[in-house]
Amino acid sequence: MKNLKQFAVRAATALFIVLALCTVMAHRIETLLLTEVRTETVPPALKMADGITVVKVSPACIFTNLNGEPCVMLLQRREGPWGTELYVEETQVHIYSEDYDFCVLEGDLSGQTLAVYPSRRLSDDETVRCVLE
Amino acid sequence: MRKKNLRSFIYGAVCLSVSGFLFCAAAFVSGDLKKQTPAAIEVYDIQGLNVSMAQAFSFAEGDSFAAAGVGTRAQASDDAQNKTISAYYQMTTPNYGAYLNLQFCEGGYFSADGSKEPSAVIPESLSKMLFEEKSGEKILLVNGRKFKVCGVYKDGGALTQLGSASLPVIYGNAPERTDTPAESLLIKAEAGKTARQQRQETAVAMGIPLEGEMHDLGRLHQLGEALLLLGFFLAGSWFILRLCIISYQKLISAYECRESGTQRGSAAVWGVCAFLLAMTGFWLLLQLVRIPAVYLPENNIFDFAYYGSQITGGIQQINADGRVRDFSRICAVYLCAETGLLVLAVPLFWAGCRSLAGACMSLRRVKLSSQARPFQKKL
Repeated sequence: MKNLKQFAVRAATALFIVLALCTVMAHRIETLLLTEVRTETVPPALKMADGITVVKVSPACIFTNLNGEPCVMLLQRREGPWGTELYVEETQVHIYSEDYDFCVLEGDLSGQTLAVYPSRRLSDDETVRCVLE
Repeated sequence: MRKKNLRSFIYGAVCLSVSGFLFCAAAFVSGDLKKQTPAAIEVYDIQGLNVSMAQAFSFAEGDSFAAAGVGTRAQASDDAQNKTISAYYQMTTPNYGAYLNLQFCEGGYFSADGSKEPSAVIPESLSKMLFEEKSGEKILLVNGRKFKVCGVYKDGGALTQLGSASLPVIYGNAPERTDTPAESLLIKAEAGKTARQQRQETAVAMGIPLEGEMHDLGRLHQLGEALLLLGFFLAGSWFILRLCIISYQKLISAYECRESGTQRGSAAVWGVCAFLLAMTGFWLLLQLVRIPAVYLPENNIFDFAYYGSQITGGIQQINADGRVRDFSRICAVYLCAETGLLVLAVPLFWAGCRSLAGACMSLRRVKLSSQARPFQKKL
């Protein structure tokens, strides 16, 4: 009976140490597997001749949502179980005009940070990690 | 006992020395990959990109990229036309030599502010064949056209040795008004940007869409570094494992101890401290694992089928035609060499540490028992 108890305590201690190591490793793996994004800060808004407020962004900032409409991915911060984490918020936009160099969007998004060139397809509310952060 | 300890010490020291040597060799391979290949994204099309060398020349002044025109097989000879040798001639922008990290044994790459007369840089082997006995100014004839040789570069860059080019390559300065299309553009790689992003930015700056094979040599440099760091992580794991074992032994001894509460308490404290140290050390060590997301599977890091398909794809590319083969060969040679060295270095490091730790423990045991002997005699 005493041997059995000793064995149980030894096994539980070993298991506890292994589990703690696995938790630390799992956290790192989870971070590595997060979608990697680059960021672009939206420049100040411009007023067009027809009175519409627009912002000029790179075409890489424009994504297509599930309904096939254009959208941008705003980079936001929130408190997660392991501290502050970054996530993307899908925001539908109206394209005023576009060409090879720039895309002009209706609305005032100036100063906002947009996610660009993700390592894989992004979805709304997805936790991401910024390259070089 | 002493002999056995000495043997363990020597064995441990030898293992650690060999392991250290192998780690240094892996670091050298990683460094050499950086030295021999440009930290750039290559956009390549053997038929020529939709950018002329004249356009590339005007935009390359900002130094964000370098360009080489479509190459041609040419007959190179000295000005007296005593010897004629088959070569590969490419006109390039003046910053192309700096991008390729060419090592010069004579002269240097032609500069942007140099004279407008045709200049060329040639490999050492070609220089020896054509101008062995000649000193002073060297004049080269390429398909009958005169070039002043302004530099002789050392043969043996990874791109030429592992690549499909078997002919000596002559780089000439691009006349500003030429319609020759660019064969390759080397865009300076930036760590925070993807190859696609940088290609698009260059295309936007030039106002021309860039299509062609894309080889991200900058990312390859990053992968070389990531492999080396992974090796350090695996080697350092020995200390974490050792700390975990110590923590386990102390905690169990605290539980099973029949003696006074102080001894029991100190064992428990040591056990907890060792455990916390192991966890912190492991967390810090894990920060060395920095594999770029593009090389990882989407959801499951243990998706071995994904890694298998990546390796198979790489092997297929080695047998493919064109520039992709050169790129794959460079990847295969450098990354396999580095991985091989690390695979040998890590177990040797573990064996060395184990042997040294064993020797230290037995020495300590001998010392403790020799201290205990006079007390036993007295009793």
